[in-house]
Amino acid sequence: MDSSPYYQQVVRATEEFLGPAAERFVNRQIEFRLGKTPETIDKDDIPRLKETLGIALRVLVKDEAIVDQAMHKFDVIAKD
Amino acid sequence: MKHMRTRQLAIKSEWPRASVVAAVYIILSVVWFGAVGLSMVDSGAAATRFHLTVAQVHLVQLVFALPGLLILLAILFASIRIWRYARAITGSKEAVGFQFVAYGILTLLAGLVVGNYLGGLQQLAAKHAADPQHVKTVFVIVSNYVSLVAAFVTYALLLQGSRLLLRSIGKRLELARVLTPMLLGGTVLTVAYVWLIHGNPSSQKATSPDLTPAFGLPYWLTVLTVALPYVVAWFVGVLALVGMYQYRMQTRGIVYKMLFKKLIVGMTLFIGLTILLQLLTQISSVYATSSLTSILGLIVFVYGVLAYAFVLIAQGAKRLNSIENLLIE
Repeated sequence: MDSSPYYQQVVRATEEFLGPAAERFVNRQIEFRLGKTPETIDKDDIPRLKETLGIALRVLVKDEAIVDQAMHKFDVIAKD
Repeated sequence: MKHMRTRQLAIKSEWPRASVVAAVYIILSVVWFGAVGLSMVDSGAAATRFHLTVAQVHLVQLVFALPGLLILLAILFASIRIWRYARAITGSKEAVGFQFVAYGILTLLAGLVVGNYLGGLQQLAAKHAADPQHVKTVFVIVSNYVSLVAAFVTYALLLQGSRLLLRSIGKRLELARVLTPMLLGGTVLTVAYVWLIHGNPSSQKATSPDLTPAFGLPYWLTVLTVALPYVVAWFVGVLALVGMYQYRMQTRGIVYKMLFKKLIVGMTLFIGLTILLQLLTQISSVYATSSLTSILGLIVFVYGVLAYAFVLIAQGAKRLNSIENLLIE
């Protein structure tokens, strides 16, 4: 089964921040937080994934400029 | 947002278990103090040289064995952290690269422990030998080759690790920009090193029965089989570092790069200092006449920065691991 187009966009956006660790991070959050699989995520899941990445980035680097940048990327995905 | 909390996943990353790690730390401490005990068998020469009593020499040896032990524990701690990280990302493209980095650091640890035991055994064997100088010379030759092999294998594993990390992002080690300065630096280092060996009066034979020769080999054999291979090993070590920097520069992820920074600063200090330490050890007879305070001061400084380097590596690996363990609920 092909992964959702939203999944691809979420991974691509997250990669800009978490690099090689991005896909693993996104998969884990989709599985544990949303209880879904990469194939089944849809547009409604984007705000929760955005929130998740925001919290994670605050824990990891505590740099609001980076968090804002990431949030903007997710806003663009949600508007698509 | 308020109801959310972060949780650290601890499934794969718990390996090796805390009890196993504690057992390894204890074994390493016992092994280390065993080596120190062996080196205390014959402290007469040091006592004469530094105008101390044998008891005072033993005290100094014990006091300086402790930072040495801390270094070993810091090295073990750093390698376990990287190993845990590699295990946490098993199956990913970059996991094998990190595994090789952990193997490299473990090889360094093994080399240090073996080198220390050889130093201790040398004291014991020389004390009971009919010709102590001959025994000391044999031990110095073996010890130098063991250290050389350990250094070479350590740097080669680190280089392979950095090459695999670069391959994980579809890149290769780029030598065009760094080769010229590295060759120039290598040439200067080789000339200086060979010149220091040439000017070392105790290179082949000790200048006093209390001292140990630096190499115990004819000049040409020392240059060909110790000095030049060491320069090659250092070259490999610097290449490993270049690979790590290129991986950090070319990989994606602003935050990932920030978390990787501590690891790479630690690696730079570690590789730079081990090269310096090996150089100082090889030309140790140059400062054989130095005072106890200056020698101990130098040892404390190098040991301190080296311990700091391994703490940085461990912290870097821990921070990278935190991405893998983070779960938002």
